[in-house]
Amino acid sequence: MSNFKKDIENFYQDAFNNYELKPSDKVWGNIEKELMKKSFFKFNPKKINIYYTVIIVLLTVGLSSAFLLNKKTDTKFSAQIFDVTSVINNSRNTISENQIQASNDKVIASNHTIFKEEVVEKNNLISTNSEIFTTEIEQVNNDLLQKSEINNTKIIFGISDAVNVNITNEKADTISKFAEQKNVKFGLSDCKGCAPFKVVFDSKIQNIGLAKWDFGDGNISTEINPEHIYNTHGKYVVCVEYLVNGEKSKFFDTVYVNETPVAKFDVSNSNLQKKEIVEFVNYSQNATIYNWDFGDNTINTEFEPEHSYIQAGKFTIKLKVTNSANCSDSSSKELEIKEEKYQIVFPTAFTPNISGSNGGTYSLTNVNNDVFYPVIAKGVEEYNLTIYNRKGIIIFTTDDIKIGWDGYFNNQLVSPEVYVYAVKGKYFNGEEFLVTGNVTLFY
Amino acid sequence: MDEIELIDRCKKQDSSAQKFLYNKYSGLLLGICSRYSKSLSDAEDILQEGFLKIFLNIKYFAAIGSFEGWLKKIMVNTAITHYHKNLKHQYHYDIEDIKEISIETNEFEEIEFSKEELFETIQSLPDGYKMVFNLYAVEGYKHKEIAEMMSIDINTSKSQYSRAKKIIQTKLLELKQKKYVKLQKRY
Repeated sequence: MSNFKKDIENFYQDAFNNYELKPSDKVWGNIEKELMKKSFFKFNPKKINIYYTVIIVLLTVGLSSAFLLNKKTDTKFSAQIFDVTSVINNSRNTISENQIQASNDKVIASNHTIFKEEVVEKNNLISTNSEIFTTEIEQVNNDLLQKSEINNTKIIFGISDAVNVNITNEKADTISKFAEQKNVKFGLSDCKGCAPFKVVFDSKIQNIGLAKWDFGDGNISTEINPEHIYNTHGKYVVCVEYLVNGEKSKFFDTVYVNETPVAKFDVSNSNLQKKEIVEFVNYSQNATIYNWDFGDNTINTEFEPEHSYIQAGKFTIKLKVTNSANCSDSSSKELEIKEEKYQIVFPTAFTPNISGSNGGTYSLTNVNNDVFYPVIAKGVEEYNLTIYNRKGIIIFTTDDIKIGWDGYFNNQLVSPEVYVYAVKGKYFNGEEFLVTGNVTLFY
Repeated sequence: MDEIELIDRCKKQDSSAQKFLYNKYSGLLLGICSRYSKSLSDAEDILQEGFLKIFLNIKYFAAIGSFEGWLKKIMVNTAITHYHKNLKHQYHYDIEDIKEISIETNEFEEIEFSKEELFETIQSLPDGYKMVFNLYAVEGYKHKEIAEMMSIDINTSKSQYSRAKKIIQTKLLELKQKKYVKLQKRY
């Protein structure tokens, strides 16, 4: 046997440093497919991608609508248009303008405007979206002021008379769905909650023609009484613009969304019996207070508690976590605790200490395996261990479970071979047991 | 194709270079993924996800430090993400009752165990332990780093690691005993 001994860390590291496994062929196929999909949605002037497809679709739609408009007045012309569409479809990204021009000048003009308008509209949308993303108050203020100069908009800051806010804590709980609802006046900075946070904005102003909401997190709405869910924590400046009787007015205020902790835990051991210690592993995030309910009318507030059950059965363990902002989350798990099972188990081999008898004393933490003893002995009340050699001669016997066999007979080390053991006794519940088996002794 | 050229061509999304990179590293990276997952098909899922990340983010690889290290790190991170995703669905572990035996020693004779046997001991760990054991013992991360990567408490990482180690030691010991019996029967 080699003397080359190392730490577990080292030899696992050595074993797996260049550990290789061959993946199945389908993996690369999947990767290739995904990559193609991704490149399709990315702009690249050299390749066919979604942008070209969109252009082609828009052109086709434009042409066919023009075709439909003109159908009533000119049937001859319709045939020509149809040709043009198919040409565009075939050549995909080359629009042969000459051909179109040749067919009908009028159509070209209308088609171009349609296309242009769409593009302009798209650009507008992009620019408004990017503006919305700036949530810094100053910046928003400046933007508003600038806009007001241009559009002659009336700005009123945080007026509570304008909007009623209805907030709901949307966090879906695994134990109970709780939803707290409050009526808060817009503009009193009272709009606070835990993420995901649902806010219902209720406009109080009469005769609203148009409303434009910017929720401050990149989302907008044109509903007059919109509702919005804030999924991430943060401070959001909400802005609403109303058009009432041709006159514009603007309001805005702040919504505060606090971070919600995540409750998550696991039980570190399975196959549990009553009276055994159950260890809990806590995976919760962003929490400061932990409330455990073990399901047997006991509670605990430690981070990772240990618990043992007095009764067998199924228990629902609940963990509720709370953070400093008083936002909370809970999680639960069912655990089955079995009745105590009494048993006695012996190893199948051992290696006695060749330097001399130790009298059969052993400790469970010793790994030398130089004494033969029951590695598992649960609920044993009475106990007798007898060991026979091949000739059937008793070479060892004991009534003390704390004493095992050290491989010596009359202070002589016995020869390395297979020995037979017989164990009889009684468990605490009165049940008697008799276990026999072989043990290999070697050195 | 040398490494620099390979990276360069992958940055340009050259598909033949991507295939070359995949062929060169997929074996090694699947070896890593497999340690973090329950089955080979799970490991392949992680591998696929990880390679997509590699190809889409290779343009950010700044050539500081080793490329292989970068690839490995991406795989490990992907495995962690995967683990977190699946955490909710997995409650039950099938470990034998090993609580009765506690072991003090750290040392085993390496020569006694094959790679497959060692791999099995890792596979037998509960998921959370498996993550921490792999990250600490094999990948060589510090507990502080693991805590950040897994978004767990540093003490959780430490306690999980020591429990994982205890399980592994027990398994190795059992394995060792079984082997001795076999050896003995042969003669």
